[in-house]
Amino acid sequence: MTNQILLIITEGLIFALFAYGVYLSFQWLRFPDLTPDGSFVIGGIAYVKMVAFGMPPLLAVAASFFAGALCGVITGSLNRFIKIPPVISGLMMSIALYSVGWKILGKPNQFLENSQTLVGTVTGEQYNAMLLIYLAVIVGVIIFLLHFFSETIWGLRVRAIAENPVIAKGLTKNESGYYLFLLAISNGIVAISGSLFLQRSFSADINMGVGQTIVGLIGMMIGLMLAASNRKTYLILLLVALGSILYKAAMFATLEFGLPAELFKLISALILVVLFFAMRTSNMNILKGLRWN
Amino acid sequence: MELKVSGIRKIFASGAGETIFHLELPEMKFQYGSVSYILGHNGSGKSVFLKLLSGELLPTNSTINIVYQDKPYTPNQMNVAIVRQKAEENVCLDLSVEENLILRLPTNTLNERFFPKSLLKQQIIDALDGHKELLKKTKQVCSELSGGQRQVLAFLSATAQKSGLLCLDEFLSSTDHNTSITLRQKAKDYAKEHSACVLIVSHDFDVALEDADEIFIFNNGRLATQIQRNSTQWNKTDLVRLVHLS
Repeated sequence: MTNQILLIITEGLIFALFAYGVYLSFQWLRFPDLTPDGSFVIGGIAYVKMVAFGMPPLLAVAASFFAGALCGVITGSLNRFIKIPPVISGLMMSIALYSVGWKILGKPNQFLENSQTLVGTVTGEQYNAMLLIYLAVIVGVIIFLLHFFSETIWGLRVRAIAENPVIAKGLTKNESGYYLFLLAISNGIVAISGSLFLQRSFSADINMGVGQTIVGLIGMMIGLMLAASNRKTYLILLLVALGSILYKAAMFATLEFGLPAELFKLISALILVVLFFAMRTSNMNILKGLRWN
Repeated sequence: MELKVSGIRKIFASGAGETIFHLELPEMKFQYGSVSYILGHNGSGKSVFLKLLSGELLPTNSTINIVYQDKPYTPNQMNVAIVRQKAEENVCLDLSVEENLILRLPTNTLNERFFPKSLLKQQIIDALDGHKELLKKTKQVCSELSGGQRQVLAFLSATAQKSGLLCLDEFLSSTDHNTSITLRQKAKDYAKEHSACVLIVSHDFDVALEDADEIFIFNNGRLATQIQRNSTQWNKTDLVRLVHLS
């Protein structure tokens, strides 16, 4: 039982990071970014390649951030400079990253040795417990950094220019710079999530990102609904983590009830429908003001 | 001593390339410490003029030059403060009162940019200028404020910028009578205290005659006439006639 709880929490925290990426792009930037499906995979692949080159696992996690950040910058550039709508930019990028990932990996998937993980060669419950400590620290550091950034003048400007483009010109001469920066951060965090996902799956697979943006969206929506009118960034991020853990617990429960794994994506979609219905009935509009152009 | 604006030229064209509206103004001069009203029919180019000055719109085949204290500036360099007609266009509804003000306050040090809420506390209180309701709601998000309160915040945020050029585009449309009187007085005080030029777009002749030092009348994208306070035409009858004739 303890091991099952550890599994749920570790997987929940891994996807909490994914949800943070979605939260930054959807909530702060109002940019409906679909790149995370691809940057999640790229994060995992970057990790595998880096540890294969002998880089320490923790540094490889950090390196995956930069790989994801680059993906975010490209998506942002497609939107800001070539004027491709956000959804299409992200969709195109996630499809392109499928090929890029395959090309870098050289094959559709690659296994990871125990010794190449953050935790090392320990196994079983001890592995999950140690992984949980690593994840708690990484999530904690990211919450701290995002909260800190949100309180700075640059954090306030990002949210302001995304919410009200009319006043953007009066606040900064470099509106695009803010967009690119935040998309880099959001996709970088998603890529970290991808590299950490490998600590559980022990394999980088070019298909592992398919539909994961929906999972991030679910975590974000549960977190924001729990936060209600509270606006403290650290509290929202903590509740988004809780939302991701609750989602993973629900998925774990469906497995326990004997539902086959092929129904997981369908169940995720149904959970999202339920969340939208709950949002509508409680008169909350979490996804308001998204930019479609 | 006067602020000079030149290069105002904006053409709006239809998809077929046909000119829909053409705003072109000569060099305009505004005395430091003065309040200038801009009057004219709907569609005469008053708001477009302010949007060009604030950098919200870019001119057509022209470069806007603002000479302030003998130095030339582009609209972006000048950091022109503007309050638009619609309250929700002036503030970020998801940010708090305090956060909206921080966005407009000048920051001098890196520390102030990293920790604006703690280091700019006094400037935030000063910017709210004794407005009791907003002082009580500094942590509240603007979406929870009334339209009038949002517009007051917009005005106070604009004045917090301490720009030499403050543009107010029908900014009293969502405020009550008493608030309107207070804001009009604050606009005049701002001009005097900061040796700034305050430009106000309005349709209210009485208010213009009461508050303005100079009135500019626009007609169909052109400056039709300008009247000084000491002019014999400084009365409502002549003003109405000039606007309707133009």
